[in-house]
Parts: sequence; C-alpha cells; structure tokens
Amino acid sequence: MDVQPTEALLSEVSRGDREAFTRLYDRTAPRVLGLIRRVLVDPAQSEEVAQEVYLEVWQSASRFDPNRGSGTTWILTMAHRRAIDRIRASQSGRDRDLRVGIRDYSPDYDNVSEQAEIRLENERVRQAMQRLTELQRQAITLAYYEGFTQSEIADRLGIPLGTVKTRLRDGMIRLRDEMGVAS
Amino acid sequence: MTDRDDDHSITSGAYVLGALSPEEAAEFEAALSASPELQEEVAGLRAAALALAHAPSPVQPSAELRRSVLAAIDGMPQQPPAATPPPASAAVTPIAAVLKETAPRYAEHHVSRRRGRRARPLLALVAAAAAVLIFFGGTLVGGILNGVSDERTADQFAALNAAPDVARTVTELPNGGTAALVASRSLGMSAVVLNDASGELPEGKTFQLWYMEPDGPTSAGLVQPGDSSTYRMLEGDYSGEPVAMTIEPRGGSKTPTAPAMVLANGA
Repeated sequence: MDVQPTEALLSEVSRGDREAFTRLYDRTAPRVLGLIRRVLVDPAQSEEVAQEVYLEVWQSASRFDPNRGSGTTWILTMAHRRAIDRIRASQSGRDRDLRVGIRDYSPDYDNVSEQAEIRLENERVRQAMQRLTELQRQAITLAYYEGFTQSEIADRLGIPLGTVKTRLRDGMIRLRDEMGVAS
Repeated sequence: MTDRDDDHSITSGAYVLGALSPEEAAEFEAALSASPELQEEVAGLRAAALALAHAPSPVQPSAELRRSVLAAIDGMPQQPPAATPPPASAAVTPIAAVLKETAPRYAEHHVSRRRGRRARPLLALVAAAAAVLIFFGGTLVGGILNGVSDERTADQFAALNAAPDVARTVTELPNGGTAALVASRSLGMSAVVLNDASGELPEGKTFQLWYMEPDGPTSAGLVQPGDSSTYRMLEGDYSGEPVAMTIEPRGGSKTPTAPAMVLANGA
C-alpha cells in the first residue's frame, strides 16, 4: 500500500523523480479524470485535458506549497481550470445544450479503488451538496461543472441576474456551513 | 433580492465559482480589496468551492493515457522552485528610506541618461505615492499584454484570485484611483487592477509594469486604464519579487525611463 502523502510525492516530483510522478499519477488520476469528465463529458477530450494537467504537474511541482493546502486539491484545481478553459474555448458559440438536470450524485466506485481518506472527502461533499435546495444546487452546478457565467445562467434559466447571484451565494454559504469549512 | 449591480456582497458566490466575466471579476476584485468583511466571506466560500472538485465520481483512465503521460514527461524540463524571498529585514525596509537615500543619485543619473530631458510631472506622482522607489537600469525587453477580453485570461485571473496564497496590495494613485497588485507565488502569476486610473496618464503614455529583480527591472507588460476598472495579467513568472509601475511612452520601454511606483514589496 502506497502510504506516502501526496504532498511528499509532489516534493519528490519537483526534483525530477519519475518514479514518484508515476505513483502520484496512479493515485490521483481517477479523481482528476472524474472531475474533467464531469465538466467535458467527452471521454477523448477529457483524457487530452488530463494529460495536459499531468504535464503541468510535472513542470510546476516546485510551485506547490504544502502550507497552502493539500496536494490533491492543488492538482484538482488545475484540472478544473483546464477543463473549464476547454469547454469555453470549444463551445464558444454557446451551442451547449443546457444540461440543467442535476446529475446523479450517488457514488459509483465500481471500477475504482481509492484511498479511504479521499473517498471520505468525496462522500462529505456529496452529502453537503444534498443539503442545498434544488435551485441552489442547479445554479452551482451550472457555474462550477458546466462553466457558465452568471449572466449565461440568468439567460438560460430566464431569471434575473440578481437571483442567480443570490442562489450562488446562498448555496455556497450553505455548502461552507455544511462542510464545516473554516472561513 | 434585487438586481443591484453595485451590491458586491451578493456576487461573492459567483466570484468563487469563476462565474464572472473579466469586467465583473475586476469590479468585484476592486470591492474585495476595500472590504475586510468581503475578504473573509470570500475565503470561506473559496474553501467550499475547492471542495466541489472532490464531488464527481472517479473515472479509471485508460492504459493509453498513462503510457502517454509517462512518455511525455521524459526529458521535459521542470520549473525551478520560486525564488527564495529576501530576508525579512530587507523586505520591511521602509521604501521612503530607500527613496531618501537613493533618489538624488538616481535622479541625476536619470537626467543624464535621458539627455537632459526635464523630469516629468510624474515626480509629483512619486512624491505622493504611498510607497515609492526610484530605479533605472536593467536590460530585459518588455512586451505587450494580451487582450483582456480573452476568456482564458479571465480564467487565469479567476484562478489567481482563488489561489490560497493570493496577496493583494492596493496603492492609491496621486490623481485619484488605485492600482492593486494581485499576486500568487504558488501559481507564479500576478495581475494589476486599475480603478479610475485614467486621470493619471498624459496623452500618448501608457502604464508599464516591472518585476524588480536583483539584476534589474524586467518588463511585466503594459496596461492602459479603462474608464472605470481594468485588469491585466502580468507577463512572465511571478516569484515574489517586488513589482513596480511606471508611466512610459505608448508602446513601452525596454527599461524604466521614469520614476516607479512600487505596487508590492515582494512576498
């Protein structure tokens, strides 16, 4: 069992350790690809973006600061940014169909084995998401996972911009409180 | 809830989710710089937004992806660690003291270098700025920043503002308006946000940003203030060095030709 913390692996990667990089990849890739797929849906594009993410991890591992948060979050933040970049660039015509329906949040671990702590974090967020109102969850999903701006969300849902702002803010406040995130 | 655009506090959720346009983000950012309450709220909501990355179900990557990634890093260069920050004593040296000590010498140097051209009214700007340092020299070439409307830039700006180590420094400009530096060492990125700064620039001039590195200032790009709020991602890699701004002829200069306002003393 690979018990070395992700942060320690990143430190070794920053010194050019390929073996540490391989272990880091094996540990985090399912989560990274899961997030990217959640945004992009298309499997081939998602793997392309995942590849970009890992090349960035290799190149910029020295920039990771363990005092600023977990290594997994650092990599996932990169993955989210690149996935949103991609969806905005590839669908600039805004011809995306509106996937308003909230996707299934039930766990789906059939083919994936993971560290228990990661699974726990995943479960915690899912449960917190379930505490939001349907409308809050919808707005947050459109913004974070679909890459829509607040104005686009207002257009698509046919509601005032102020209402979108309020839903996003109230939803994030509740998510923060449910997660027990220190502010 | 009403649809008041000037009520920034209700925009905090959209902000941490990256759902603002570049203009909206810059405007919010300006309000954020001025409000500790808003900064506290954003910090909490940002942490919650980071947690959203953990919610989707994992997906097993193909063997091909693994092979391809591991092959691609072969021989691929890596960024060196960010520069070590200067010792605390150096970092907190009052800029005014530096100015007092070095201004006359450099001012002379400036005049001779510029073949006797009269010092511009910018000196007034320098005297009034909160933190000031005058410098010349440096050899590196600057460039022009990319268009601000570009969505990739907007995402970079959002990522910068979402960085856990993001630092903001607001400098009041003498003729009104502010210049805020937003910087993150962990991302190696920085941006400048200008608010109501257009009164500062004479015709035919532009603001130019500089990384103040030990071997001289390196251009970090040009920025032209808009009517109200403008931001630009700075060029090059931010590694905690001081960042300064000068007024230069449109098109920019290779080295600063005017006294510089220090926007941040370095992290």
